[in-house]
Amino acid sequence: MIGPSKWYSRAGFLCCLIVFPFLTFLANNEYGFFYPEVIVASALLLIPCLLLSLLTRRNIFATVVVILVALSGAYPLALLFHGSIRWQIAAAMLAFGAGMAVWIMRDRFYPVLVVFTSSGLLIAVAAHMPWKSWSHAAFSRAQPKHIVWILLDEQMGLAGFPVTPACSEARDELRQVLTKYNFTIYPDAYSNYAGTIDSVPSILNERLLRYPHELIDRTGQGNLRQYRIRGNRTFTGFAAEGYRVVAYQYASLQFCQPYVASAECHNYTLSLSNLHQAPGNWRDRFRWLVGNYQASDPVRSYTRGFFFFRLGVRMPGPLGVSEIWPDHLAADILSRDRPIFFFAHLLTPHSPYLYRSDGSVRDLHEWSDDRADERVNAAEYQDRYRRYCEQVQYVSSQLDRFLGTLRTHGRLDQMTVVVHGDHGSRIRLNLDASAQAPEYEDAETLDKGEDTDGRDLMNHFSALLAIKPAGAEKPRISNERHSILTLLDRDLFRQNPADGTAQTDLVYLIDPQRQYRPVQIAKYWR
Amino acid sequence: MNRHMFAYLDPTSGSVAYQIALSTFLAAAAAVRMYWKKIQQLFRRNSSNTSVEKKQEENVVGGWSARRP
Repeated sequence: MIGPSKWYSRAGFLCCLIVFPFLTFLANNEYGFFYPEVIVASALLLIPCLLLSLLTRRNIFATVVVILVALSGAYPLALLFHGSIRWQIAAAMLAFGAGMAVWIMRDRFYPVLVVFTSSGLLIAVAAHMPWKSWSHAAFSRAQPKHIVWILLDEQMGLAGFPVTPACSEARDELRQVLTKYNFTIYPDAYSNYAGTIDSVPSILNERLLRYPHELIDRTGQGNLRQYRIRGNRTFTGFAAEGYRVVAYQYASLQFCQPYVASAECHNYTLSLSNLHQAPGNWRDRFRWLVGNYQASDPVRSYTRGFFFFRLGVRMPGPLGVSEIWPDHLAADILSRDRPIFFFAHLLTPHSPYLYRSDGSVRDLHEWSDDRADERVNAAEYQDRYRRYCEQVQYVSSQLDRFLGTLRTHGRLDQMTVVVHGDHGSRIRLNLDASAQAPEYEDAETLDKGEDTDGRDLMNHFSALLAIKPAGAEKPRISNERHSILTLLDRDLFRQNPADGTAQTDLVYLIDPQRQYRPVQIAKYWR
Repeated sequence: MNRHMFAYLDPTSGSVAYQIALSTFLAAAAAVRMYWKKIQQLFRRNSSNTSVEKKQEENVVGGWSARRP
């Protein structure tokens, strides 16, 4: 029988609990195994397996196995209960269960453990084989009057771009694309809130929030957060008018279900396999893989995933939307034969700023360490905006491709299209160059000392808004200074803002008491 | 590096559920396979129970012998 009497058998059992979870994480991220960074990481994980197998025997080995089972299975078990039990409780349950199993089954427990862990890995590999892709339906011949709503995360308004050659070019390109398709553009529009989890629920529910995060529920902890909107007046309103609601959303930011039962909600994830689009050496990829693996489970973040070091978590951001945007979304719209309200929340030009204007991806080391919300010095501020603006240029070309496809098929003219950003760029200058910049100070909160600076407000709040009404025959520029909420209420929904224009034209930062502090942004707008 | 990224990572709860369910099923099948003779004996307890069968019950568990060196 396969038993733990030999050191190499013990090492094999420990590999199942220490190395296999890492390989399963890679399989779930559709990341291949035969890359130098994966081989190095796996080899490093073999070290604790070998050490523990040589240092422990019999009951001590069994105790180590029970502890590892509890540590590796706690968070997945808690997820199975949809977070209704804490992972600590799940770990205690697993430790008790594994302890009982070892006591009753003795050495026969280990083969069962091998079957359990190796089948988990094989299932993950099988479920994420390369043949998985977004399906394409045939184009419909019908010409229904769709409403298309494209939400570009972190897309600032035309007036918000800094005056630099790269940004002037980006602003002009974005304006040209929107003008080409007869949009009404609002260069001075701004969001009421500096974060997605407040600005989008506010816009979709057509009202201001009474307190921070009023319209969003959060589950999970650390970086493993999932947000779910509480109510969605826009979706339910269009569904009530007879539109079929179709939404594409990032899996962690749920704006779709369950408020419209018939809604089609498609989730995309930020799979690490997208890193292969970016040039870079294996050491950069190793940092990505290990850092994100360590952050992929709260227990793992304590144990460092059994590595001897800790690395930071990183988000591939816009790389994750490349599978659906723009071609798949355009094809989906063209396949519909009855009116749809089509909503897509795209994590682009969201940080990190990795695309060049031609759509090629920068080397990993250029953008791997970009972190949202950190204040940076003047040189870094210029560099970030240069990369941000190049990314905006690429987004403009994607938008052009998307709208061009719809126009080529003769569908665009009768559609209403809304394109908007949820807030500004989140690139922030260290305003007091003589002082140490606070490493992390959320863009949604008031700065210490409550100084408000025009550049900061522009960075936080300037947000794109462009609306193409059905049948629009020429473009228009509206230089009004209003919030997106005010302008959408007036020009799309044909109603007055529920909270009154005076309130919806303020912007809101969060004070230390976690209350909203209104700011008269008009005073600071350049 | 500071670990706080203001990142929001998908906990991939959907795929975890079916992976655990299938793995548990397969592990349970493996355990049943190992204890198959014992399970069979459990249902045959009321029928004739020869000394040979008793010896088998003691020594053989599925395809693996508990006392084989």
